[in-house]
Amino acid sequence: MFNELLTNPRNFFTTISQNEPSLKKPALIVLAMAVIGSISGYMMGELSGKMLSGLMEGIETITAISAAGSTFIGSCIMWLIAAIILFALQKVLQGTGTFKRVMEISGYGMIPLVIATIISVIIGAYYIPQAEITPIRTTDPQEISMAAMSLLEDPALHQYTIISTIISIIFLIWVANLWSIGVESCCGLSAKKALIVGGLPVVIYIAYTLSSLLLFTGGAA
Amino acid sequence: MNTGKILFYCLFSLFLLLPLAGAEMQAENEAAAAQIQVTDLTIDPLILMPYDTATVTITLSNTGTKSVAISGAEIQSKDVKVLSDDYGKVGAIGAGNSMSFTYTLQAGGVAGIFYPVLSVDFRDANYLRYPFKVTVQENPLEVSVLNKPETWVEGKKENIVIHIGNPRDNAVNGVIITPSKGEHEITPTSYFAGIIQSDNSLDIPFSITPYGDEPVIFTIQYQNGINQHEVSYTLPVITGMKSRKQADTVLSNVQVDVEREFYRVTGDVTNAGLENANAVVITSEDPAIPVFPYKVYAVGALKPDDFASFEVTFDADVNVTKVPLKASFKDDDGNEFSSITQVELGKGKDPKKQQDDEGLSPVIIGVLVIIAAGVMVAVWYSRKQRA
Repeated sequence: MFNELLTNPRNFFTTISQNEPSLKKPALIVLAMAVIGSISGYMMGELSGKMLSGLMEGIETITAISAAGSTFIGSCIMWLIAAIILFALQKVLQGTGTFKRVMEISGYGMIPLVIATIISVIIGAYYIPQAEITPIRTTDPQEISMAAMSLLEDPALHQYTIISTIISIIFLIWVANLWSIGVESCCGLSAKKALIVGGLPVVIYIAYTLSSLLLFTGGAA
Repeated sequence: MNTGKILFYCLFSLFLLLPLAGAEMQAENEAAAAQIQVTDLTIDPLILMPYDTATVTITLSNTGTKSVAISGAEIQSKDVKVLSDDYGKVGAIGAGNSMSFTYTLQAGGVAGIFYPVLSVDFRDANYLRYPFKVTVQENPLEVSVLNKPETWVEGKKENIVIHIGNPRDNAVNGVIITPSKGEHEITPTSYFAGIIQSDNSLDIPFSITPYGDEPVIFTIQYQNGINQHEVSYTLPVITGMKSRKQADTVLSNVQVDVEREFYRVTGDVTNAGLENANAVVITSEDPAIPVFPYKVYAVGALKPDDFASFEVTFDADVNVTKVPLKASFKDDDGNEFSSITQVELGKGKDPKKQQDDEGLSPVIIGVLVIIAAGVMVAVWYSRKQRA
């Protein structure tokens, strides 16, 4: 089934449009993405914890678990937000899809992000341990801020951020494609309008991400 | 018989009797002189050293019932020189009285036991000759040093003990020990020890902080009676040699990491000596420029065979390939020592340059391109099916 979603999405969405919308399988996709994503969240949280290890014993574990949990919840929230935006856009363009149907399309459409997340975890496992962390031994906010900046400026993390962002953008294009086909197939919109519904949020997101990346790297990326 | 004859016989008889009366008087004087005894004799100092001066006090007592007149008293000796004058016409010693005669003697240059003679000339009687013992000993004070350090380290205070022994048969007094005033710091600058009894010894502590290789000469001045003597002891001081027990900081497990804007050197510092290393501090030296967060790393105290990790951060020019790391410490007396360890940075490891030069590797770029191409193909494929 998932194979059909990736290789022949139009047929896949035409098939599910004939049935009652179900969120079980989309939820499984989002859950898989959230679980895998929380692994890289854990690694990053552990790295931040090392920086703060001079302030409190065991803070590494706390920050790692917190980051993993945040990533997990963030992935679930992202599904909900994407569904709301898609639903609102298709309604604006006189689409006929219910919110549940749009949420189903949104969930199925996020399957490329599972692949992207897996790749990001692999790359993170390579780059994150290379990061040089200087533990903070003071509670001075200015020094903590400087240490956090130095963490972001670490060469390994710098590259990891760039690569993971590029991968996200690449796979978000795929996601936009799936969403537009899903909306076209299930919400009674023309191909052009469906492309706008599926593509506009992704384009805005990509634009935001690229601008953040350029701001963060100072244009050196 | 006429008067003239009678007078003649009387004078003749008196003339015959006069010698008898004189002889009787001399006998009485000799009997009285025989009651003169030497009741006390003191020599100060008791034992002389060659060429020492001593005072001899001899007390004569008249234990008889008649006073005895003394024409003169003198000391006669071939081995001992009498410096004072003889006693002449000292008068008489009354019955039961005493009279003291004090002489100044000077020993010759030879040690030994000598017997000068006190000769008292009685008036109208015989002589009194009284030999007495004068001992001349050559033994000076013996000086040695205890607790001498095996090696001297410049600027490091060491404690030594000067041991002074008196092998003589009499006590010496006024003992003062004075070290030479050279370039070293020596405390105390002198020490008054007073009397050292016969066959006794004295330990005097000194602390010496050497600066240079000048030997320290300890001069021991003392008095034997009124005679001033001195002996000296030369303590060689040779610095520049490393103490065998001294703490020794050794850097090991040294690792150089290149950070964004500086070098970070981590490692272990071990005390490979036999004494404590206090206030151990690690820092980098020129041409490196120490920078925060670890310009200087204070390790603290290291006992022998203890080790601790350290971390220093510094900046250095790109052409610098070696940086000296200075490990300094203080001994228990506060003397500071340091050692230098060269750390190789490696070529082309300038932090900023490395950071600037690094970009995405071709492999990563290739992978990203493949992924992008794959996704584009998937999107194109899904779109194509509709067409």
